[in-house]
Amino acid sequence: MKFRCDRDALSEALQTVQRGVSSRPGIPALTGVLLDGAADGQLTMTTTDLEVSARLTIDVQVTEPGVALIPARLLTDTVKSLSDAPVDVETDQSQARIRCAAYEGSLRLLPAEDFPGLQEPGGTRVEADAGAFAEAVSQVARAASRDEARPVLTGVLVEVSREGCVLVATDSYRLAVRDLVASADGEAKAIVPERAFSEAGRAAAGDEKGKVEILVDDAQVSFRAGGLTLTSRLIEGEFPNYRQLLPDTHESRLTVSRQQLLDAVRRVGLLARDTTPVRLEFNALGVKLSSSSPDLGQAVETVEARYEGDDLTVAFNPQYLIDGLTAAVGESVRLDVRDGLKPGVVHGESDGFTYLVMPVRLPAAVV
Amino acid sequence: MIGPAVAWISMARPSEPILHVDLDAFYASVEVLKDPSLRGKPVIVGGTGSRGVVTSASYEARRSGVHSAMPSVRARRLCPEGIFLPPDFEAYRVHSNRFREVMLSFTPLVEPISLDEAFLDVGGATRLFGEPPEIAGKIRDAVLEGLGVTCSAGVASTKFVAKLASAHCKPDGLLHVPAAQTIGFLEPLPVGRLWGVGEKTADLLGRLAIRTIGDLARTPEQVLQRLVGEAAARHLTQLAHGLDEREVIPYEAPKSIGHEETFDRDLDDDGEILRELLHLSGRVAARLREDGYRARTVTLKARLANFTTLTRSRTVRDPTDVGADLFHAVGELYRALPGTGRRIRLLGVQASGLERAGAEQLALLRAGRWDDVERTLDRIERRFGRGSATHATLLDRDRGRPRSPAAARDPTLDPGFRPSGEPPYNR
Repeated sequence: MKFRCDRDALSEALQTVQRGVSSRPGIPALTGVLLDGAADGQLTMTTTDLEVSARLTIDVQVTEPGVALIPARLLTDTVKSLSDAPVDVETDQSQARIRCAAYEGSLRLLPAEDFPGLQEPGGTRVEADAGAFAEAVSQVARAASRDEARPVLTGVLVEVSREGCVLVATDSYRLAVRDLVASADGEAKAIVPERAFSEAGRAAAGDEKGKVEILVDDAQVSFRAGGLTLTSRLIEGEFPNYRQLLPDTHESRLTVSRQQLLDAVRRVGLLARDTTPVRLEFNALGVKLSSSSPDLGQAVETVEARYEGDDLTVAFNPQYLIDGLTAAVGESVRLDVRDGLKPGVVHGESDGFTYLVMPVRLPAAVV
Repeated sequence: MIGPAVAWISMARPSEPILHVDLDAFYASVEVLKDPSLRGKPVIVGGTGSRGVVTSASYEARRSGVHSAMPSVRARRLCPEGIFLPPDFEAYRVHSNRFREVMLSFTPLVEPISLDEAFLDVGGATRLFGEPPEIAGKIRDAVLEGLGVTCSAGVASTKFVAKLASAHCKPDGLLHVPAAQTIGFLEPLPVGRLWGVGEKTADLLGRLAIRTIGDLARTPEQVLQRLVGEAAARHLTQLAHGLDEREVIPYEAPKSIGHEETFDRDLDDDGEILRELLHLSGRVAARLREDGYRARTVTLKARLANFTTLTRSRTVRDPTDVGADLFHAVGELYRALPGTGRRIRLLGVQASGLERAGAEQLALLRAGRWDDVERTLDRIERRFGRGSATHATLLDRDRGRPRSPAAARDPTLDPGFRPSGEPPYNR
């Protein structure tokens, strides 16, 4: 194989195709990136850790078609460090020769025949705006669990119907639900590992004006955005029935500037610890935030806002609240509360996003 | 050779190392914290019904003559404008814990006497915090800052003098009684103020015209012996001279909480045995919640008819104060015991690896909702007495009689049982 291409394009593509794939897979062949130069000038790069695989195609000048498996990390670092000039890559049976300006180096190849064949994407097909998808991913992914003890919760539920697509994640303390406008040719339900999901969102963010295509079958999901195809195995199991968690009414509602509340939670939350969360006291004037740790200190801040409902005090883990307020879109947010033991619900200005956060029970309800 | 001498001096124990710290009108003060509009008003805690007694009164109410332990009927007459509130022990406990934390930041030698008062021995804390009166001042500041409640502190060479001193300077006061002035301080105080002198003893002493502690100190011990007996006479004479050998005994967190029961007849039916374990688990969990702990380790103890005792422990993933969790663990431990057809003489459930239960992050998704159920049971029991609400399966728990066959089929007796599969909290 022999091709010539732009250094920036090659460097960026190599970095993209390596994200989302484990950098320490068990098998040596998986440390490589498979380059496939076709006669029509397309260079396809593939990486995989068997869980997730990434494939990206860029346009180059192919003078000699062929396939080679090159150590990914080394190739990426090398290309990244080259000066801004066309890069020539030429491979033979055992090595890849790289030339750029005055630089000339060669990397030993990995055996391409050890590289696993990947299953082609298939199944139910969904298409959505890449920009909206990227936003949805950033809203939902943060609520996924990091605790491997409950694998199902480490994933994001992708629920596809003809009406669109619902993305859901929960770590059991909070729950993020986003309705995504999409067109689909069928129905599907899949739990996608959060890492792959977030990577897909990143790829979509890089091509905001474009489209993202999602293909779901029983065993895997593929995302196509910005030239990248990211395929991931699904998490097996039953995702909790999130619909029954969503309250259909609200008793008390705070309507407040999103940024103001977010800033206040951040500031006051600095003094919060596991056992001493941030308390929110809701009253007709708005909300008073406070936190105190016996050995650290205390902080109070009042945010004026519109509040309809009975006076209430609810305590939250500040980080969970910050995540929800960050994820909500728009100038103002609505925060629905019920009592100190029921979830608070964050809504942004659009109806498409709902974020539930469970409170922290204080040692005594009154204090 | 000055060094060692200096070290010796600085390590000398102060002559008045004992502090007694007492929160002022504690329950009433907490009520004012909860509802600041009550500030400056005569707040009376307790006696909301027609027959209760006052448990605490704000100083505004005390001005009308209301004091604790007074029948509420009387308090209402004395202070018709009084604001009567039912006690809220959960809130008092929280503030009390914070109070204890403040004191423990000065010395580990803290002996709580009740929710709102404690003795401290600050003899070893002087290098860090200054002389005892200075420490008392710092504690008062820290209590006011940390709790929003004022307190009074007595500093003396013995426990009872410290307590008298704090009572003397109430509210919001600090009184230091130097060892050399102890007799002078005690002299004019009525004998009734002495520890162990109630109304009856005071009456007896009054007959001998012993009205002040000074009078008592001048009375020969032999005279007192005829009046109150040998032991009491000795005790009173010592106190009257300012002597009190009791030490400050620091509170120690319990290492475990357990319950066990020996049965009138040996149990051989699994259903019945599990039912007893459910009962014991519930009692242990209630104690954990009451004392504010969660347990990491659960131990099952079973003594067989032949007096062999088996114990098995399990560590749970998340520390718990829920009876259903304890039962889940001991139930499995019981089923895993070797052998069959056992006859059980005694069963015990113990919770250890205790940690303080602080604030708890609630979850949307939970295995069951026993947590809420049991906390509700606590409230019901607090109001209507123990056993006023319980598991249906424990209703006819009557040893010695054949159990009802229905109980054997009760699904809650299956340790694997969780009241509802996945479903989370109820909207």
